Amino acid sequence: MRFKASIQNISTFTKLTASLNSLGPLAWVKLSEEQVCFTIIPEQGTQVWAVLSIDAIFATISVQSAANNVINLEVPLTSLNRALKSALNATSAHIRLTKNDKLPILALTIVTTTASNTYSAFPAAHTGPASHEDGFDASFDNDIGGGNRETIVTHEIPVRVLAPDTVAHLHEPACREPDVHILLPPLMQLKSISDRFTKLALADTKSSTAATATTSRTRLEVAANMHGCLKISIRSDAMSISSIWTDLNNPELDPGHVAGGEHGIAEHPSTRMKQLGTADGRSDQGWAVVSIDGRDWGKVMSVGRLGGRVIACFCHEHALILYVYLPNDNGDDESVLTYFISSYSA
Amino acid sequence: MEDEEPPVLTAVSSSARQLYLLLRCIAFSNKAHVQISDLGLKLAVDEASAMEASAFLDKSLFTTYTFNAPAQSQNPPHPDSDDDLDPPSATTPTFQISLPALLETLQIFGLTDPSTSKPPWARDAPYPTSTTFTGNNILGGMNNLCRIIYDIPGAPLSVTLTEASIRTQCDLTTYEAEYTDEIPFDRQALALKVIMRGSWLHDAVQELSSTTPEKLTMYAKTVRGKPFFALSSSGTLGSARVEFNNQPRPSAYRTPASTNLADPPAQPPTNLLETFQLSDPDTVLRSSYKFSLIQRAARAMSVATKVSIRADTQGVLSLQFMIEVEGGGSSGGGGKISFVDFRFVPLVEEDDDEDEAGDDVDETIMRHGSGSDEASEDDDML
Amino acid sequence: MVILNFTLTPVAASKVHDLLVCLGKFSDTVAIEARREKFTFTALNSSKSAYAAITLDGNQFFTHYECVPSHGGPDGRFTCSMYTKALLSVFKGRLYDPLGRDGAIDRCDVSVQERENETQCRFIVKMVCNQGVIKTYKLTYEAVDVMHALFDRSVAKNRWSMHSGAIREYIEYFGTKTEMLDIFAGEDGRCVFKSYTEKISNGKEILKHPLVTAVAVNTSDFEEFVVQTGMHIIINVKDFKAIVVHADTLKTSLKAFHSQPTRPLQFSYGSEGLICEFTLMTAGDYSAAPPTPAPQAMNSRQASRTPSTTTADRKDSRSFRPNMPPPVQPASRRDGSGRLRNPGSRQASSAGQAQPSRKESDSLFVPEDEDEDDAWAPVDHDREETLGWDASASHDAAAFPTFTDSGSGSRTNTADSNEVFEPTQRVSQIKGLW
Repeated sequence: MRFKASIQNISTFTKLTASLNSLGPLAWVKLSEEQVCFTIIPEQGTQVWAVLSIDAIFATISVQSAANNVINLEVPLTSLNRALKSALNATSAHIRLTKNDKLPILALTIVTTTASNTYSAFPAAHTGPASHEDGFDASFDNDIGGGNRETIVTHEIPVRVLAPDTVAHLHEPACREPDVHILLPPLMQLKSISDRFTKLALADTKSSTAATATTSRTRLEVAANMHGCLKISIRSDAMSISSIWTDLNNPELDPGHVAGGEHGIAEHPSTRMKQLGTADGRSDQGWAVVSIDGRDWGKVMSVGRLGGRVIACFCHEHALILYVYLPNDNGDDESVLTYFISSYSA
Repeated sequence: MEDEEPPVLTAVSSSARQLYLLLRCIAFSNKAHVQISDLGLKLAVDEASAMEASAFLDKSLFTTYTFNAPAQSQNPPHPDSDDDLDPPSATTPTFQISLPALLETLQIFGLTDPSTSKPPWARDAPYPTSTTFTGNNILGGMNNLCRIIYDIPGAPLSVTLTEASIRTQCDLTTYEAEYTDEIPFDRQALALKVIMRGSWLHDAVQELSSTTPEKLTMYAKTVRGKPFFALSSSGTLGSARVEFNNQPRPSAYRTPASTNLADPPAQPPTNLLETFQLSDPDTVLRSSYKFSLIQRAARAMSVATKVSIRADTQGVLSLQFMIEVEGGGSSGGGGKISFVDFRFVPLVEEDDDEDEAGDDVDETIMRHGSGSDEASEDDDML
Repeated sequence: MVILNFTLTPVAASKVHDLLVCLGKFSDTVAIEARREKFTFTALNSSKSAYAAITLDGNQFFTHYECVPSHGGPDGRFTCSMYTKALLSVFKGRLYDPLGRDGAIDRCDVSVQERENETQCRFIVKMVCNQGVIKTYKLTYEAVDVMHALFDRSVAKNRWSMHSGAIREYIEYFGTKTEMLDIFAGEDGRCVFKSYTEKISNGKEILKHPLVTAVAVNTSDFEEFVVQTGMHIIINVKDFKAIVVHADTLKTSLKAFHSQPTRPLQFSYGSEGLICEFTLMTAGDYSAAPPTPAPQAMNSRQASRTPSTTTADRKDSRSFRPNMPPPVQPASRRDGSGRLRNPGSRQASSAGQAQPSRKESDSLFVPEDEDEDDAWAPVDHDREETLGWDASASHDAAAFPTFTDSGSGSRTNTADSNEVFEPTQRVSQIKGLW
């Protein structure tokens, strides 16, 4: 079993692990030379299934195993993220699977080069006799390329190797055709407002005794219609609050991707939903509604740091599925994170 | 039926931030009393009858302010911004709302600017008056509107925020008002009045908090004709005292803060104590308050341009904060002055000239006249 | 009655703040020893494995310094002990502010009021601020005898020195929850700083294990590097971080002196009348050492005395790495007693194949705007609760109760915090010490 890769997009990799880590501490990572999959399956809460093209994060990759050259790992995301963070300024970064004391580890090796005069830039009030040369000499060294410090940092991330049998029964959830699909506004907007809603709902409980009822108190209602409106709302004893976005985009369905082609689209739930509701969001009709936990939603929104397009698919009172497309250079949506969020029963 | 009567209150502000900054000063309680009059909105909170605080949102803070008194209403109370409101008239709409909910709602403004994760003004800026940079978010987008509507008595207080393509509406449940007696403060019998910069007081209280004290003791006296004002406290690890002397010593190290460009011109020119009036200049005024209650006013201290510190002969302390919030009102022109008031019931002095307390007083504070008169009263307040 | 008065400039007062922050990482209390010509803060940690002494020169550090001990003549001294926290509440940050904003001071006057009755003894600090604000603090103190750790530099043949700014960069790499630091002088012209934690257990627990991070530095990047090749010196990583961070506030060079593992190591630095010396107990590999209280000593000394299988494990794991020949064991360790828990030499070879990766900014790593990052983090709505309705908590409750698992590490630390490190100084010295 052998895995090694050089990382070309540390920033994306770091943000990806940070986003996933907010939903769970452990990821199932499936490595092959075609794609890399990250999956988070908490017993409760939102599942994430991420499929990334190799070049979304790696420059070169080599995966060899007895199981069709696929390696399945269980990876602690906090450690991986912490290690990657320290590589953001590295001149190079490599990751490989190896062993330490018979225990498998991912070794992340990064090389950083620092001009040796960086700290001389802060004028020392006074330095001892054995201290550094003065700043002028140091920068001169730097100019001729002789004054750089090269540092090699190796992080060892403990992992578990998963046998093919262990992961064979894990499948992406299946869902019926959505009633409404809509392009979400910038997630930072959405996150800020929904976080505040959740905080509002919790502020109420601070005084009251019902600590057990917090889950129901942070129940956030998210709704959208086929006229470019998104609505989030929450209710407590002290208040009820809602925010409505208008002028959002409901992407057209691609006949090639809908069962039954053109006919399928005509019969599609979203086509019927188009007949209902209004573009100003004031109508009560035409909303597909899901009821989700505000705190879980806040964790999902953490994916906004990746900066991709997000399409939300609403299955009324059933589930909300988010497709987060990683921004890339060639315009393809090769890398996508899929979030499966169940609705509380109404 | 709502259609027939105009709403009791319709108020529109182009700056939720102003309202937020003022109300945040009294944000230490879950419920606030709201009192609506044709002059503005008064929000008041209290704690265990030992302190109370109120913020007045003058109608000039709003671009539109329409008050239609409910049927039986007559003359509303007469808030004098330099003074405290009269007891609420029974005909003035009064109710309670969740103050945290209102504050959170007001903060939603500006959150939706995708370029900022946090509205700049939600940060703890020590001097909100220096808003050269912090105000952009609000002043730049005049589309941003905050509309407050109170339809009929018993209806929710509805706050609607509109910003670009996002509309947020919060309906705050209104609760029955609970009338409690105001802390009596006798403006006609003042023992002390001091006016100084709010940040000086803030700094002093912060300083004293490091001793984790139970109480804060205030001293005032006149030394050789010069005013002297000091706050002190003591805890298990020692004691601390911050004194304000009105004769600034020439500084050998740097120019005084008042010449600093970063600071607004609103601060007093040279004198630390802009006003110092001691009813009996021959005595030392000494009065103590529960420290944790005084700390409730810390936020108001930190944002206030000036604070007026007054104690009446009973020792009741009034802190009145003058807070400048930047434009946006109907007048349109520049800073708008608002007031936030706090009152505190004094602690009974326990004749504690024992070692620890006496140590605080030390040589520089004359002890005569201290404590004895306060000790006889206010037993019920504790 | 002692006479002790001194005056500090704002800059000096803020240096007192910085040094107290540093000493606070070692102990809740600091001891003060005032002599006629100098003033010393000392701190000893609870396990007595780290001793710090920061000396302020009477003439150079203070604008005015007067100390007349009540007895002892020219060699007399005044000693007392105070809570670090109490002093820090007086010597706050921002005492020195070039812009003269609130909180900044004009000068700081300190005096000691010593009385027969100890309850009346006070350490009096007067902060004179601009515009006539004066803040006076009277802190209680306790009379104690102050002891010093002895360190003989003449036997400390190994020494190195490096600018604190550079080391500051290295320590940023270390995992937050690691406990130990192995400083290893490799044979390849590199020195490896490796932070790690002793393995807790096996099974799923291993995924909770903190990162092991090795930072390999060319010895040519040191100002001085004279260390016996192959030597591992192991100290507490938190101690090291505290020292480096403080040294960096002075923008000065950090010097290390040591003889051999299990003997004390001293860090030293200073500037402008301020001299800092930290004497730390070490563990590590040394040929002549008896069954060593090696790294595990920090966690569980009992366990450390039973021979572990790690050496064999290491060999296995090395042969697993295809690209890497196992490093040659230094002669000093070939007798088999060496415990190669922490060689950091092996990662170096991959550097050659390194490809340039995207460089985002010039700041130190973690260049990503932390604020931006925080903004994306899920809001922790219930900090005081445990991990309420949190998917992560239920994933595998046994393995991952929460991610705040640092408790296990620190608990073991406190558990044997009463244990003292092996006395490794000459007995004659120890007797007079603690």
